[in-house]
Amino acid sequence: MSTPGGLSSDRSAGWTAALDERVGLRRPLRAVLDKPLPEGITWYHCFGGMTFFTFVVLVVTGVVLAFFYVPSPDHARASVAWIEGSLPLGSLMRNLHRWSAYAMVVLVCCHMIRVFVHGAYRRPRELNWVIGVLMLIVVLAFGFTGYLLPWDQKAYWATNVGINMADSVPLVGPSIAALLRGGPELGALTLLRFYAAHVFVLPGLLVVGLALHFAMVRRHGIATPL
Amino acid sequence: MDRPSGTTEKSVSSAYDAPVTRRRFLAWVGGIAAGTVAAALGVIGLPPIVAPMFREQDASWTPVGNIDSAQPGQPDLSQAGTVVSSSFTRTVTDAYLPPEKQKTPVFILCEGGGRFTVFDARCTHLGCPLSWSSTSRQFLCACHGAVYNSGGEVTDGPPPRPLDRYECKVENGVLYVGRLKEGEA
Repeated sequence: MSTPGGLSSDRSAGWTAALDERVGLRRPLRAVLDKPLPEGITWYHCFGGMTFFTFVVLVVTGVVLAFFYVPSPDHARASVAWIEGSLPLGSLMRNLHRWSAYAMVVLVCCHMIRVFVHGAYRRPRELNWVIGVLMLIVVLAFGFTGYLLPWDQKAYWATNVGINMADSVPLVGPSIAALLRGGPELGALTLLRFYAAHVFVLPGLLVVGLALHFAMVRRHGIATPL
Repeated sequence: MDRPSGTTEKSVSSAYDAPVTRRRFLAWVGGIAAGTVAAALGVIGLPPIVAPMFREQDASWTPVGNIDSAQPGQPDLSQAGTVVSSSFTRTVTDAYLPPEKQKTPVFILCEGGGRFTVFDARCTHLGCPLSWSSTSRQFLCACHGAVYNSGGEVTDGPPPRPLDRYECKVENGVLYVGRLKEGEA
């Protein structure tokens, strides 16, 4: 566009131009999407984007699952079984969610290793590395909280082990364990708070982190490979 | 962007008459690929949520009572011209909950000669339960004053259509109900 923003000079101004006159997104979109990349970009640079893609899949399938899953010890196991067995495409939704979650953890580690090996964390990108590490913790927290939700033997005992590990931390351990457990024993309150963390708190944190992470990538550009 | 991409390119005033550059082509390919993936995700995510729009109602035939001789605890369907307040019981499965027996109230109009009409006992206006007045031979709704005659036709009040009725059949002296049909004027 020779005159972005100026519509009167746009000869064949169609509905996109008319829309842009009202929302004014064309220029910022261009600035974001047409960012020039340095030479030497490889497929290894795709791990971050792939991680984001798994997040999108997890959000979509997670919203669908939230229509049917019940975070209560009476019904959690039965509702998951019902999603698997009776809900149209329910099994696909649940397993896409499960495998995307595994893929996200693997890909985010690949992304971290790539950034480390390329030295892309160096000045002025240190802060984005820190944000990335914080988001890694959020991703692992997603995995930990999501693992309990099926409320089967594996989920129960894995969470039991996880909380006992937190319990063994010096000084603050018992407090952290109590916070995670929510009640005197691993039970209804634990399931409910893991669910709330999994679908409300952690997604909010991750979206904020992603927004900062991407804004910083756009600000500094892709690091030139070593 | 504004960078000149070739010597032959003239001033570009609109996206529509711009020549297809390598950059624009790749943008389209990327956009279509991303759009396809997004659409695929949306398409497979929808069926679980919209499935209830296409669900058929339970059509299994369910016994209501014997038509000749009333058993204890069963409705007396032998008197022609009477309206009997009754119910049938089906086992319904509510998603992941254990199957439960569910009692559905109905009104049975005994027309004589082995012919019956089984009315749904809910008002067609907003679904309130109806009562049968045997003195005035009318179905009455307490919510908004609807009145139906013994044939299920609206005689007063706001209902948009006559009473809904169940498909029914008589087999070996037993009256069965099937699917619920909307009442038609």
